[in-house]
Amino acid sequence: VLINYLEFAGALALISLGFTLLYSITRFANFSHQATVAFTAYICYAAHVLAGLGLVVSISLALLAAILLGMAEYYLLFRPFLSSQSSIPVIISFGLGVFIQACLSLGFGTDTLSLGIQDTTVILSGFKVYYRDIWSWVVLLITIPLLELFFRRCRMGLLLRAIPVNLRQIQIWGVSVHLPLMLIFGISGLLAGVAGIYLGMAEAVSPALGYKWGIWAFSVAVIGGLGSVYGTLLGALITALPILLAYRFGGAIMADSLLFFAAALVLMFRPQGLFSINIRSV
Amino acid sequence: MGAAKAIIIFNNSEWGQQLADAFDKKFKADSGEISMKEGVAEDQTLFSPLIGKIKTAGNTVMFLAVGPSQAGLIIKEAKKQSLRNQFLGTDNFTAQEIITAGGKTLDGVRYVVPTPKGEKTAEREAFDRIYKETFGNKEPHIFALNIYDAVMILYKTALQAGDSTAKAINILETLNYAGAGGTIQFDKNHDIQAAVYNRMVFREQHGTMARVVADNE
Repeated sequence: VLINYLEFAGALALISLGFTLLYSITRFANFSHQATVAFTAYICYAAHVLAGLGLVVSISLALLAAILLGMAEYYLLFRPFLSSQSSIPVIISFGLGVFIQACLSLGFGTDTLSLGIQDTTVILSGFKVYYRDIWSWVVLLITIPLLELFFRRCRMGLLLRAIPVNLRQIQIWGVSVHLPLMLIFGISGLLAGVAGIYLGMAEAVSPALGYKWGIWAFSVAVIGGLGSVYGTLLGALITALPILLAYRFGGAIMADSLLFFAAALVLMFRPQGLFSINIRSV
Repeated sequence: MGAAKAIIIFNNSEWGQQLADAFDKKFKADSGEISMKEGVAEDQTLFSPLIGKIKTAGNTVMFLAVGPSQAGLIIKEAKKQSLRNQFLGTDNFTAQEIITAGGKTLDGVRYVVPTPKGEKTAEREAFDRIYKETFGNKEPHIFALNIYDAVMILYKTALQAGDSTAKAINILETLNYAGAGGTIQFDKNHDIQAAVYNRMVFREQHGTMARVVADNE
């Protein structure tokens, strides 16, 4: 049970992280995040299976494509609307997600595809553990402190933290926020890409890859605190166990209902999430 | 198979429920015992909690009335959690999706495919050729054949029967149609008459999963 719990919590945190990171700066929920997850898996499939490139090269290309997609999304679609404090970016993200999925369906078909990567296990203390789950925790344990360090110590990180506080004021001072914002969209894309490779190995590649995980990730981000990088990890660790138990004893519908109910309760009584830190005080 | 106990995992759809019920009934009629019967959501991809629960039921036959992708994921997770169940499935295991999801963990998984009379009709050869031309040299899925035949039978019956329901029923009851999936006739229960039920098993051959007729092993 502990192994299953850690595997599931790690995957949840991995998928939620890019989503939360972007929200922490832009204050909008990017619902095209899941489509970037699927997009990356398809690029990896195209490079590794169709073009016959090596595994490391294929994964690197796929992650680079995810970064570029994230940056292009900002520059071409979200840039004009981020300072408007409206719901336009959320609506755009919905449309963009559907558009990317439709393009993937047209380009690759709707059949499930294999990434062609052996999903191997290693025995730890007598239990089989997937290498991908070990890697997901390695990524999390490296990425989260690095992101915290970036936001606390780097000049660009400090500027990014100021954006959700008062974007207009920053712009009045004549400071350009385009490069830092493009960077944060790129990092969010990269994290979605890592999740895409993970899920492509765990399940199979399809246009709807990660759809269910995306819904869970949103709930985890709400519970942990939309905008808190550490909160995402804690949110995933807290929610993973009840989800797994509900799946075991009540099935998928009960598990999903419980998760959404918990997210609704958090939104009602502590909308900033259980572990969010006021960005002004950081 | 000599197994006294079985577990049924079924898709929470009409198809999955009916298949699970049919297996349940037949297995009990043959003095077997269903030790667990679990439904899964149609879009479910997380199976580690379910497998953890099944682990407590011991090593029995596991009948999977779920989609091919789900079946692949269930078997993969079961093998990861060191379950030693004998997995059984139906004709939807002919879909490539099960191999995509389950990979080499499918070795030894068994399924049954009902095969109508006269497998290689001229219609089938034409269907195979056009299907491969259209979908890039892929073998047609068994359901593609069935759906094509079903539509053609409906179309031809509608043309012949006009607006008479009684005539349509009569045409279908006495049907002898050489379709892409073989010669199609219906029995007294209006089920399709299968000439033979092929018992198939997945075997790893040269690094890939192959489908082998179990009786030939």
